[in-house]
Amino acid sequence: MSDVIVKLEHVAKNYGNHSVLRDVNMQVNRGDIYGLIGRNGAGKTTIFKMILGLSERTSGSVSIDGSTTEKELFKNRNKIGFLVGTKFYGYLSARENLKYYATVKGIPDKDAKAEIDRVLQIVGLEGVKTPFRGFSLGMQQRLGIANAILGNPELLILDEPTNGLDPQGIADVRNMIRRFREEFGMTVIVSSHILSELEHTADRFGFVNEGTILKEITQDDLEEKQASVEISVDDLEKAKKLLAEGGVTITREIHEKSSLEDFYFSLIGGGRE
Amino acid sequence: MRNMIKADLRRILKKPSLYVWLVIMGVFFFLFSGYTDYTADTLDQEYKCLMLAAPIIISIPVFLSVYGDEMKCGAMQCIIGRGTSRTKVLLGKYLECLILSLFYFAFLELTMFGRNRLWEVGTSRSQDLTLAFFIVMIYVRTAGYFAFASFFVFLSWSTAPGVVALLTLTSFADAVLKMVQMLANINVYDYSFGGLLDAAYADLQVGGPGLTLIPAVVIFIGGALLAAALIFGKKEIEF
Repeated sequence: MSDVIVKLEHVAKNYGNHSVLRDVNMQVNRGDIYGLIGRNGAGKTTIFKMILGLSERTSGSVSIDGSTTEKELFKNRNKIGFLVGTKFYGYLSARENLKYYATVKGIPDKDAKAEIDRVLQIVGLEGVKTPFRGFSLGMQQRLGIANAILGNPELLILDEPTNGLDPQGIADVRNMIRRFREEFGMTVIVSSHILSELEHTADRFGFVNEGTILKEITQDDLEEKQASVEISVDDLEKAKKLLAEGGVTITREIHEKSSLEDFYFSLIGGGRE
Repeated sequence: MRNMIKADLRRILKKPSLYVWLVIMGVFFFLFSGYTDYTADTLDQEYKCLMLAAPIIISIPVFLSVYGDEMKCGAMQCIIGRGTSRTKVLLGKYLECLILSLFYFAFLELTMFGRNRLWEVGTSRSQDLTLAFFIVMIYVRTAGYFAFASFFVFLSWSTAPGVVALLTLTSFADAVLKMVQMLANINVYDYSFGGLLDAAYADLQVGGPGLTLIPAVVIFIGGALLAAALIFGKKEIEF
């Protein structure tokens, strides 16, 4: 078992003269939560398509779990669970849709019911019996996540998993991602164009722009570059007086209002764990 | 591939429309075909009715069950992303069409024979066997139509062109080719898929080996599936 679960080397993708990916180099280590960040159209989804084999790369190599040949790469794709859009049959219920995918994934019938119960409970859809066509966007995303983790894959790819979710849903997804790694040992690659979504969730970050990964950094790199420290005090004037007495000069004072998210959760309840 | 076929057949068998079509087909052939007495002429009329109606009544609902919902939902992307080859996905879908249509054709055979027994139509054993065999040949013809139609599905990534291809093939493609053959004096029909099947059937009826069945299956069905596989292999799959 390789420490590097996904590696892209000099991957390029062209459509005629139009270059969608240019010399992409990316490495995801086993156990990472890897955040792929970039604006819409930067190339995040195309990178996923390269990994999943849904699009043929123009050049470069993709390796999954140390695969060295195309045949091994192909075979190792069954270690991946992914959420890239929601692909379900409208006339089937959540359970029936998952039964379909459990059968496709080769999960034996005698184990399928328990596995489906497990994943539905994780995403909070265990009591839902309506056909998929009646699902809200949030419920669709949850079912998509349930399908992605069905069979406990080693690698989980989530393409913009919080699209269309309300603040509680976004917080739930953040918590789920951490749980997938900590409880189930999955490596997670999650993409977003919203920085705050990934900032407190991922260990490593890849910044995608115009079809290339500009830089890969870790949380440690982010902390090293910290420009300021935030301290919360119960008595601001007393704190300023003590600092002044200790010979510390306050060079800048920034007053920030409570974030909208913080206020929402203080009002409604729930939020980050 | 086996898992995909099993999963697909299970979800298709949950569709009420499958059974509605079965009833429609059963009622049609029970009430609107058949004769009280089978002579050479009436048997020939029966075959023409079957040839005209059975492929279209059976192929359209089967094709839509296999491809229609699939194209709408996009499950194929998930199956390919999990490491199933595109060729296996294509062959799997084709096999699903064959399995489901076999179910329909078996029901058709039962309906025809049940009807004859109920109406006390005096058919000889030889006539029964000929009729049963004729239905098998229509099944093989329909299998070819599925292969051609699937090519259009994978070319366009949409079910509609496949359905149009099926309608064309089951309705008037053979008639057009026969007319061209007659008018232009070129053997376009004799060497077409339908023509080769007709020749095989005629040969088998007189105790021959029906060898033209082989090029019909290999060249036309095999060729259509190969072309579909080549197209599908290069397809960019969008989410």
